[in-house]
Amino acid sequence: MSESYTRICFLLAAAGYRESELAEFARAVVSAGSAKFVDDVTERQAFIQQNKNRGSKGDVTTTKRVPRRLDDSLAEKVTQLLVLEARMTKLEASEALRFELMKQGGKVPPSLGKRSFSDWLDQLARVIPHSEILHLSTRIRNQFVRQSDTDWSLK
Amino acid sequence: MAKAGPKLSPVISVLNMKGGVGKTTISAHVFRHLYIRLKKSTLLVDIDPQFNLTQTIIPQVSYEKYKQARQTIQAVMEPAPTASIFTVTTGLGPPPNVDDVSIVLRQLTSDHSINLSITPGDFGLVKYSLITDQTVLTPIRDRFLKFITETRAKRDLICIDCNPSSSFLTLCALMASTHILVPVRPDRYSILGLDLLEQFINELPNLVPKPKLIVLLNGVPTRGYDPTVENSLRAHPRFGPVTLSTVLHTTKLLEASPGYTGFATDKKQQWRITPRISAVVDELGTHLGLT
Repeated sequence: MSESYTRICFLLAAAGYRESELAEFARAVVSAGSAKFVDDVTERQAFIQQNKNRGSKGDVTTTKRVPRRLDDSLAEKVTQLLVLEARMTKLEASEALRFELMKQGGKVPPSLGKRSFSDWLDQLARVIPHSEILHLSTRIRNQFVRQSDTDWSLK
Repeated sequence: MAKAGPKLSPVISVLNMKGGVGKTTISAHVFRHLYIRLKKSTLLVDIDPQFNLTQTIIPQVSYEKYKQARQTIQAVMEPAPTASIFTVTTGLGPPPNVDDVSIVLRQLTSDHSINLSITPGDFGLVKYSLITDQTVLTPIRDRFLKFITETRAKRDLICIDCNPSSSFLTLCALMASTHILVPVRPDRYSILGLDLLEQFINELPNLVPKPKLIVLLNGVPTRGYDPTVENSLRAHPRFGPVTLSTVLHTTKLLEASPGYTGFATDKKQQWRITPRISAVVDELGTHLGLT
């Protein structure tokens, strides 16, 4: 099982649900599908965030401002987007990128395996332009991090 | 080495419909560094009537001499000056040789054939935005395009610094270009300038094939940066894959200062910005097929 699956199991265990509730929950997730489930969770994350902001400042900020570090390498940028902002593990991040490349019909790099994430990205960057890797990483990141668009956006 | 075979060198226009995004800064400092790092003979062409690129790198005294000797972009457009700013020369003839209308700014000591040169700008170009009859301007456009085509065989790269409008001069630059480098600041206005530029290019029926867009984020703050606009740009299906992964940060080193004429990468503090400009050059070189 993936690391995120184990982490969520711990969260549910700590919340003290009964077995019957967990079973009902699992059936509901299967019935809704993974995309709907993720949408529902991110919607509630935004709701919680809005309420936090309302309580402390009296305003609702609709744009989550994530402080971006000064980054120089591609690995740092991708790590910022997928690991720090989208909260993925490095294995999940590498698999998500592989999946995106697969969808494009391009050559799919090998799995992360025992290599470090930055080594894996370096190898990827030898065959895929940096701009393309960042494009895919940002698309993946945007699926997980709810962020309101600017009023005027690119067509 | 200058090209000898049939393959013509790339031509890149630095353009955004929005002003103040760093077009001139990038034309000057990124391409000066590209010439030395990739060892490519590079010609800068200042087609903006405000000629800020020229003012950035050539002292005024020198410029006046070049202008007197008709070594500016005006001589590319027309062979002789006209009496009025509302008229153009008829019977234009062939365009000049690039060596007669360009100034060598730098050259490799090991190989003088590899150099960085500029065809300086000229305020005289402003008249082309005052002339409304396009048939009058067509021979001038054709002469400019012929000049660029001939120069592509003599230089490894041509960079055209454009003005931020949809004028006759912009059209000339677009028709001559294989690529367009679009500097954008991470704010809504300059990003929307990118949309407008793409729309403008797509709606030009004579522009075939369309030049390829390359986007460079410029003026990214080093503190308190909100990446909302950058994330939207990078995730965009058309603009995202062509947005260089390296960004340029806000820095005084790249800004024009009253007491300095020249390239930022030649300043004493250049080590602060050179590594980042090198990364931009490497990516740009790949997009342009120079590496």
